Amino acid sequence: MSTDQLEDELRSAFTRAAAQITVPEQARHRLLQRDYHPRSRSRRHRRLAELSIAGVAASTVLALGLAGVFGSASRTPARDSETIRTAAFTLTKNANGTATLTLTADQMFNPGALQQAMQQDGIPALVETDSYCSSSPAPPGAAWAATLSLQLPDGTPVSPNQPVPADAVTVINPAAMPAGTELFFGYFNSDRTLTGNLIYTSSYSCSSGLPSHGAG
Amino acid sequence: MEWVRDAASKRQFEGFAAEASDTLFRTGYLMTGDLKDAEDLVQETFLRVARRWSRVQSMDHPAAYARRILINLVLRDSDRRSRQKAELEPQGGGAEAADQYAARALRAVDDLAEFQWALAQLPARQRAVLVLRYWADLPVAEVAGILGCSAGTVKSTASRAAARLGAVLSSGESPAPEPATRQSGKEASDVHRPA
Repeated sequence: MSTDQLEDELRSAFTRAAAQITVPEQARHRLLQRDYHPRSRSRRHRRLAELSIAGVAASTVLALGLAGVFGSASRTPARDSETIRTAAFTLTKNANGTATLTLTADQMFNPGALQQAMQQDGIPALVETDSYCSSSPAPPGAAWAATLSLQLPDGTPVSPNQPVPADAVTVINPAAMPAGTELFFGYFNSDRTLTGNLIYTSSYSCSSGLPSHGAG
Repeated sequence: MEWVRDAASKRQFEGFAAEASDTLFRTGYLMTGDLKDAEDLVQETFLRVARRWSRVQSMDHPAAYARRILINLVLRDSDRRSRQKAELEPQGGGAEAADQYAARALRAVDDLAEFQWALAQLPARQRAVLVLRYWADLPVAEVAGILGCSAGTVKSTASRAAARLGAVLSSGESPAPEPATRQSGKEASDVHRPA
């Protein structure tokens, strides 16, 4: 047995094996649609540095989850509501001024699309992937709680400290947002988890890594 | 650190990603035996390439650079789990008989699952040598450059890896314990995930 013969067998075995590997279409789609360049983070970081914010406050974190909410996504919007619907999420502007956000499980999340939809609904928001942003000091917890909440389809509130029910939706109340704040949403690809937070537009910082679950 | 910024550069990167994704995915799958891990590896590879795109796009073979990143991501992960490097140590004896044994076993294998399973029984560095040498068809010197070792080490590692692969395929059993490879499962998290 020559080394050449063995090497030929190895090449042949690899070729046969690799030919049987089918790249899943969803995986290919996710890989090619993902945004691999961040938006203006460095500019925002510089702004934070210039402001020299002192002190550290515990940030308020809401793990939104928003998984498996197909039933909610298919609800008929109220007559006087406006709905922005994509494969990955549905954003419904309700008659009372709130907005309902529903994510669809296993659909590729496009942060730019969600941020644009929020802006169209008049909700100032920053949406990132694999990044978590917070202000220090953080906006008052009461303002956060009034702005961002999880609800069951029947309107029952879901505590941020309890597991997120499969049919929960996120309700955003822009009217409760203090002046100078915006919503932050961070989607973590590795965990397929969406987190929400309220931040000061002019002073916040971002870091990679998933924040711990629940209010901090 | 440079990121993909302007529209033209971004389009070029997207073209590169579209062209390279399937091959990188298959490389990741051969290295890990797990579709999700392969996808994660390609994604992390693209992120790293994007950060250096202004330099990478001027390279003769950007795909080779990306493949190098992907392989090293697997090896880094493997090294973190196990510091054993014994599989790269030179080793002699019985090479001729082992080669014959391996060649017969390799000729017989006709199923991806069986081959992938056998490949997964090898230490990550042995797997990397085989994937780079016999699937990517790279010369010994280039494999040595990617793995940061000598050409002689690549040759001896390839020989031992082939023998081991053949033994696994023939016996249908795992060989002696080896350093852990990249885990296919994800640890549970206390945050909610899609169903």
